[in-house]
Amino acid sequence: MASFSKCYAIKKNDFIKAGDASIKIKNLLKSTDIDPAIIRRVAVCGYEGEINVAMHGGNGKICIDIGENQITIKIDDDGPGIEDIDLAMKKGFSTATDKWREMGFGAGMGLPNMFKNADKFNIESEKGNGTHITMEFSLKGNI
Amino acid sequence: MTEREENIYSSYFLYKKDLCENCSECIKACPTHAIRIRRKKNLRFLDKCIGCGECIRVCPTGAMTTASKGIEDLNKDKFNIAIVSPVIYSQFPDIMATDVLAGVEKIGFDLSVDLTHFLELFQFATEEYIKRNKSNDEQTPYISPICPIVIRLITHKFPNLLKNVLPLERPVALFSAEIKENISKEYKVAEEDIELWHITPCPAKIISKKTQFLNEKKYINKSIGVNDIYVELFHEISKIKKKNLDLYCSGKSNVLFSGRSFEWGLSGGEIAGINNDKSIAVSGLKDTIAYLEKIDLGLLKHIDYLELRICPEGCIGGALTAIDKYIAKSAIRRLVNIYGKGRRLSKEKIMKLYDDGYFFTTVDTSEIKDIYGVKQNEPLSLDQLMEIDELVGIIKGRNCGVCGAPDCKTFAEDIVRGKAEFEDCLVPNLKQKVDKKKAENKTE
Ligand SMILES: Nc1ncnc2c1ncn2[C@@H]1O[C@H](COP(=O)(O)OP(=O)(O)OP(=O)(O)O)[C@@H](O)[C@H]1O
Ligand SMILES: [Mg+2]
Repeated sequence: MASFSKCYAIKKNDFIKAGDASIKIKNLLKSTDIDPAIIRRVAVCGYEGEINVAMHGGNGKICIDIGENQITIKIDDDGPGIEDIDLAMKKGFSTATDKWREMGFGAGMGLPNMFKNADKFNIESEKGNGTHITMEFSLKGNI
Repeated sequence: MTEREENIYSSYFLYKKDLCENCSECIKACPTHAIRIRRKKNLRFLDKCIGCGECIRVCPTGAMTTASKGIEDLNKDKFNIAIVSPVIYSQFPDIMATDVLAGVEKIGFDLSVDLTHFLELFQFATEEYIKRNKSNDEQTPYISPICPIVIRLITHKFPNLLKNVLPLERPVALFSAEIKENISKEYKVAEEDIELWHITPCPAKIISKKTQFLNEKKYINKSIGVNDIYVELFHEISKIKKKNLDLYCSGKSNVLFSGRSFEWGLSGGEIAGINNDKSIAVSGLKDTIAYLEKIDLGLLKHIDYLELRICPEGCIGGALTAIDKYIAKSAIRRLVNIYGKGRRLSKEKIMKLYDDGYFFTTVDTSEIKDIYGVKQNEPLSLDQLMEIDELVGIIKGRNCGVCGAPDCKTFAEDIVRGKAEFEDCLVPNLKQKVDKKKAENKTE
């Protein structure tokens, strides 16, 4: 089935640019007639994911795929990976350093927010093998 | 050729064909991609112009100007009042504000009136509004309603942030609402014989019927750029200038002005007069857009109030100012040093006005769009998105701009929307290449 895809690179520790890809994705979606509420959820998930890659992960990329019935966001990085995924998914769990906390990160709400805002959420990660997240947003009867 | 063919107007600007050298700087600078030139200076403004003045700023030949009619538009049969904002004082370094006001009357206005009292009123009201409505999660952070271009940008690109705009009347509206009546009484002229002029650094304010915001009434009759009157005004002021700034600083004028109000034209000048330590001031087109994008993502919830100004360094960087913004900034700093930073108005009095609803306005977003004439693009379908992407891939261009669009992607979008032609692009046989690719896609 026809679909439209685009990928953007995310750089380790680049906090000025982290989030830019999600803004581009948001603007791309805004040029269509997709429901603004869905666009917002996609953008929020993308943003949290991007920040996580830059802060905890390594170098990576974020890809969007717009299909007839769903939007898929894939976020991959080559960082240290997550040892205990169940723990990382818990609200409030964070390994952010004091420095990040001073910048307003580290509430431990990123992954739970992504889980809440996506219609389907899948995370694969193990120590040493990076982190790979796939999120799906249903567009039924929308575009 | 007739004048109508030579001059082309947008909502805010005037393009003079005979001065244009086809450099296409304006097309690339426009933040809403509202300008196209199709072959031989056939410039078009799309209905997306927000009046920011970037095109004026970058135009090397002066072909892009405002639609201001200048001081010639002054009708001597009327009683003409000029509203003088502090930005104008900053344009005359080391000249007393009172001398500037006197000069404005010498160039033809019957009365010049200083705006700063109302700036302070507005700052008080803003402070109070934030204090009382901080916890409204839907609307925070609040966005300053002052910069008209920011409001147009929000209308065009971030319509769902219109709810964040502080619902208070702007100082110039508060001022205009009462001045005609007062002056009419004091000078014994009929209200309908009064014409209210705004001298402004802001290109978005030149067309006065597009200036009012939210439910403000249409009080301003005419607007004029600071640069339209600068030379004449400078000439008059140098004639009347009695004393220089230092000698004057202990005079009566201290009662009239507070240094705080002079800061208004600077980025950060608005929030400097508002007691709230969770405010930020951002200026310049790029940074303003970056901040709006963040609010749009639901971020910046820890901020109470955002002062946004499209022009770099604030209104002193406006496209219609007469002197360099950094010189103006240093002139303001000297004024602030002389006049001090005290407040002039009594809090009790303002609180009473506040509780009486004097400051409030309501947001009617649909009306705003009509007034500004800002249009959103028709939404693209998934197929169109793919078509644009494919076309960009075939062109593989470097945004040369020969086609008259700001970049290859916008050109591709114009093509897909049926608003440009393949022949406008430098790539030879573009249409054939696209057709070939389409045929390949089908057989795959
Ligand atoms: N891409 C990643 N690579 C390695 N570890 C990660 C990655 N993403 C998340 N983590 C781990 O999971 C934890 C929880 O992530 P989550 O996004 O929920 O919270 P946070 O990033 O610490 O804080 P917040 O997102 O609220 O600013 C992180 O502290 C980190 O230890
Ligand atoms: Mg996170």
